[in-house]
Amino acid sequence: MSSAVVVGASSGVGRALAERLATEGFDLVLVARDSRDLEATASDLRLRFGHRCSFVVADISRVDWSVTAFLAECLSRLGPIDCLMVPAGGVSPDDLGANPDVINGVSLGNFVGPARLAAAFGRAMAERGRGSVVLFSSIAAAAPRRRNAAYSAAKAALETYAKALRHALESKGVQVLVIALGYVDTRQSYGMRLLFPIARPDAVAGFVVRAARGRGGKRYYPWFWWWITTLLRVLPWRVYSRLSF
Amino acid sequence: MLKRTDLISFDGTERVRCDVARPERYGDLLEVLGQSAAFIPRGAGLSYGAASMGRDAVSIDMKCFDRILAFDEQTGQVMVEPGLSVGRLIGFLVHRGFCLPVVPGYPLVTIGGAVAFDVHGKSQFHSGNFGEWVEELELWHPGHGALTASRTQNAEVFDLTIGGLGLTGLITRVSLRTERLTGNALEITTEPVSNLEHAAELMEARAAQVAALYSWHNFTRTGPGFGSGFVFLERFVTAERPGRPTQEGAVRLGRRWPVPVWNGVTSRLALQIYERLKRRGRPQVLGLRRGFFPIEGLERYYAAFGRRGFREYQLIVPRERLGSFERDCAELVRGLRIPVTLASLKLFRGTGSQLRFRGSGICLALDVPAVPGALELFRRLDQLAELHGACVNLSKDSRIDAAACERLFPDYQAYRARIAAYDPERRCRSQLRERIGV
Repeated sequence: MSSAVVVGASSGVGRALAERLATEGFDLVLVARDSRDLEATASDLRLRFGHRCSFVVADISRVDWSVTAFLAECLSRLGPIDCLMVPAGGVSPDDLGANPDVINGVSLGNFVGPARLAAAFGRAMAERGRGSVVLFSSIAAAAPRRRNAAYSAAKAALETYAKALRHALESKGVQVLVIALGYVDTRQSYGMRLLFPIARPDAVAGFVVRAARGRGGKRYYPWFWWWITTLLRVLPWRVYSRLSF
Repeated sequence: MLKRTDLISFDGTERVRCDVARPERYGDLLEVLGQSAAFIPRGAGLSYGAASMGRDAVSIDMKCFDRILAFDEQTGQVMVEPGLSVGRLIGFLVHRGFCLPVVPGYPLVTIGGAVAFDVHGKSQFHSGNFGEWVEELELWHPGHGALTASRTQNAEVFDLTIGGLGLTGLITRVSLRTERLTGNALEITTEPVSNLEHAAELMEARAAQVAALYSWHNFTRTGPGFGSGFVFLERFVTAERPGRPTQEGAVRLGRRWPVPVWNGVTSRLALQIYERLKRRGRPQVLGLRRGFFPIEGLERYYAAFGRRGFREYQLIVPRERLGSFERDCAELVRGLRIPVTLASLKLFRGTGSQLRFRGSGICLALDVPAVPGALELFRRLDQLAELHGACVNLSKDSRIDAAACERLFPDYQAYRARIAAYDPERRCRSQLRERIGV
């Protein structure tokens, strides 16, 4: 029996990942800020799939949150952990605007919290000699824009951190994978008029769970975002600065 | 968080431009409710009338609230969120030896929708309506906050919510009683009948021996063959190869072909072919999912009405009035020359109340393309319903107005007063509510 911890499991991609992992026989610990959502999802997965599935209410964006205590809690519930997935985080309506303090929250939720989790769980997995850490970035990391500057920066920082962590842990049997997501049909994009097709959370989850069985590195989902972000990277600034996206 | 979009009733005849919210978490749900002056819950959007949409109300799409929260393996009692589909719940229950006693025709109907319309199935004559199996509800209304309602706690709210058209607030949890399964497949026997009266006699005679029954009739035939058809009798059996497993399918009702296919010629041809094929039929053993949901796999039937849509009329005719009703109805259909693409009967037992579709007698459903003459046909059927003391199904209707509703439902004024007392500010608002004037 395999085990996994999903952080940000109350909705969207996180909830879809929890369901996908339960379908594939994983025992789970689900983590998010809202207990009612977690309790409902955990009950549903336990009843439908018959595996161990519990939840921990935690806010990984809090500075005083103890990742060490959290790791110990997960180990006591699941035993050795095979997989950590952190699809937590999110945008703020205007993180370049009037209130510079918004940058704190965006950085903590999208970079500091996931990076602390990856470091703690990655080290525990390295001691066993196997495991995988899956972190979630965004196409915004490669194509920063005026509406979510801090978010783009936080995701870029997470990608850089993940690359370094992979460098440190791959030789010890731990894979570190970053998934760069394009548009996904979640509350973040609901009601928006978008230029490119939108991915369903369950399709993202299927892709991620398959990818987590392979080597670490970085993957794009949907695949065509690799081409788009590559193009955006090589665009001259004079052209890029005129884009409104 | 809101999406401005056009929502279309299942029969394709009503289109409403409105705001839709799709909360994913309980926190989002409370936020949407707090910010909306008026709202209406939305399940699968399969109501024939515009029950889950309103011009000046936010439709709250509950599809993310689709989890199973508790299940008692001894009694089969289950607690679920309202966005869970009936098909998915049955998939869960069947593997544990239980089943819903009342199963509507489409697997994508949500539990919340089934409560709001107090839906029925092919087993109505012994299992009653969906609401009879609801033990407890949790709901939220801006004027009342969070409520737990059952037959013993907040009984008035519970009673108003069962078949309450979604007007008592947002259901957040539903506890249901279920029944133990007595087989892993359904054996379906077909018996030919010459008309509605004959079908009703046969159904009454067989009711005690079967789990479910319904009939199909050809209303496109002329002369004495008008209304001929079959009665389908269903029994649970234990089969070695019970057919397809009970899993969520890919039913996508509501899509329409650009050009309508059903007209007088095509419907007559299709129904005659179907009748000939069925006459040769032998007893069939179907997997539970196929047996429970006969419409699954027939989505093209609805798509073939095209973008103009179709209209359905469903009513319960008191048994002793069926003969005279059948004669009047046949005269109407022949006289107006509207192609009836579906005519079907079920056996009903119970007592009507509020605006619910309950009562004792024979339930008749008619589908016709939404051609201009259809409204005239249905207006005259309203007159027949009033004359024969029949009960009309509001969930299958998209045109009954306040005046007609008052004539057809003896409890109309009392129900209107009770809803007004519960929700005086009309926070729960839909196009259906506006149309029927409650």
